[in-house]
Amino acid sequence: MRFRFLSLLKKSSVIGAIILALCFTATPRLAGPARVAEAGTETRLASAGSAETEPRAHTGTCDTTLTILHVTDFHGALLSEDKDFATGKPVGGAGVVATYIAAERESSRGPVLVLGGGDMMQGSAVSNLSRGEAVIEFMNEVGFDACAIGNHEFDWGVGVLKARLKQASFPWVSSNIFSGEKAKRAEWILPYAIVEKANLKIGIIGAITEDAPVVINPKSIEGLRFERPEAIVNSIAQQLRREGAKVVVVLAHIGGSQEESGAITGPIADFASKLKGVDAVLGGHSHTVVSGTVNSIPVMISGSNGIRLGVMRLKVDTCNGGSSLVEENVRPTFAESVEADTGVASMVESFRKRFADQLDVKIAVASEPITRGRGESALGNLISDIMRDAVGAVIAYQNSGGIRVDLDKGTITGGAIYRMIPFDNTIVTMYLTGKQVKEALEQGTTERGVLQVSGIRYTYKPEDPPGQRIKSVTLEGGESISPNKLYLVATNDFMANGGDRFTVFKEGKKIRNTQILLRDAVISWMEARKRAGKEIAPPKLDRAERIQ
Amino acid sequence: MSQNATTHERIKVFVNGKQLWISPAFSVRHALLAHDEDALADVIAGEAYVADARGNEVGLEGALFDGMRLYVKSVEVE
Repeated sequence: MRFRFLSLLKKSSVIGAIILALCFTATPRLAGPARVAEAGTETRLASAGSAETEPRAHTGTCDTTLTILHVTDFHGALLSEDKDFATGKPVGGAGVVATYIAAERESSRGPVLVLGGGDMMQGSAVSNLSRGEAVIEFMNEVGFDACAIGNHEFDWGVGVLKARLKQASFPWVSSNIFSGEKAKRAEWILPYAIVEKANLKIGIIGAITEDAPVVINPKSIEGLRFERPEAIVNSIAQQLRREGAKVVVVLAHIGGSQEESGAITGPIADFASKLKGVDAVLGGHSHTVVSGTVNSIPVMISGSNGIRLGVMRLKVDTCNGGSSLVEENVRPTFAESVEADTGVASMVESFRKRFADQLDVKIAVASEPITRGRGESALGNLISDIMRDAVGAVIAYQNSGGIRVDLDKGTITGGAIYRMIPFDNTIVTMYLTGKQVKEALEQGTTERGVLQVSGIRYTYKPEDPPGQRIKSVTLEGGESISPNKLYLVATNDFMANGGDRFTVFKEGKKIRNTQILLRDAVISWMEARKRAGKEIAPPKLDRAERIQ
Repeated sequence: MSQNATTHERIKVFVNGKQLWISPAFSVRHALLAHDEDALADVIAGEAYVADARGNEVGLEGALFDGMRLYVKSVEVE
């Protein structure tokens, strides 16, 4: 369905709405243990969030309509590059999303809340290269009121995440992330926030899927624990009610889907079914579209990548608390229907230009050409070594087809590494038995080539029948591989899921997708060599010995 | 390999009605890859997309959950 509102939107009306907002005061407050909002943050929240401090319409003295706008799993989609599948029309882009949000603020009756569902930063070149700085700038510009912490917020480590939280002029929330063994909440993560709009006190509780660790690099969450969120959220909801919150919204980075019947399924349904005293649950994580109720609680998941905007309206009893659902839908953000916010678009363009030059940046120096090949290759050995080193594995496997060009002698630029590894493959770890380690080699050994490996040495005869080509396997120190012993193995996510017909990796135990891009691991490793004043030399070809 | 519906090692995901066992560490993209490499290639090329039971698109980088149902649909060319 085409969405038209070009006639309502001009840049001047967007600026007008924002100026109008600045004339009103509101008193948002950040809450949670060990965190006090700085004055500047409160002011920003007040100015960005109070576009509708005077409700335009009341059905009674105790009624107002709260509009919740939800953007989730944005994944750095600042540039408008997606198409709506149903119509083929361009959708998304930061400037477009900003305009849709501004339009809803202008046309909504009652207060408006703008919320993020987590996984907002990682995913696009501009955002990745700026380590999420560009996305926070966009969210600040739009005036988000709060955002859930998602699993990808940890992709660049806790240090970068803390910097982004500090950059944000709105709170990031998650109530079920704890540190240490004594169940102490990580002090730098707010469990909830309280925002006031039009004298309506709104509690916003964050939550993340307890299964987040399986999709996060373990090094990034060392010392953190992710607990089941339901009881924690219920307890906080009660507390917020006692503190006077008339509306309690849960921002849950938890996924789900919806059947044809409308029934909501998956973890978000399980989660919502156990909640009490909350008015709405906004999910994420699964990049699905969900719009319905569970346990009489409105539940919404607003797609991903800014191609949809979730809109939920609640009629709120401002005297006694309690709410009822008025409207709930998740709309495409058609780019051609609106004029993209020029301020936001200009900001995104400045980031894009800043990082376009990064591809020419000198990363390292190769002392000689480092070449790839279908047989054991120096470049294959190098990349496998880097992969193994990045995650502390015992053994690493890399498919030859994932290495697209050689490295020339001399300067290695960012662009050269992107050409060498153009795919966004991540490093996956798992435990394989010694028997499976050998099986992987069998599956990768043909008369046309072999797997690139690190951590092991083996002999092979490709002319022999499949399954009988590997003659011996040892660890690189010479110790034989034990068939029943478990070894920590690293490979890329393509092979881990059966790409190139590698079925053995699908049988691995404790599979973990570290989310480390192989390309990023290569860049980091080479930059470290450069800082140490060392050139990159091709590794010896001594791991795969062909026997006659 | 355990065939329990909700082991932490593997979960059940359906693609076009076909059941797969896949690690929860992976995404919709990987479920498609495990189901059919060509189907994933079609989606990446823009000739198909992944949808839920209601026809709403599902992003390739979306997380999986036990019992999730995905459908690969062709993009209609006008």
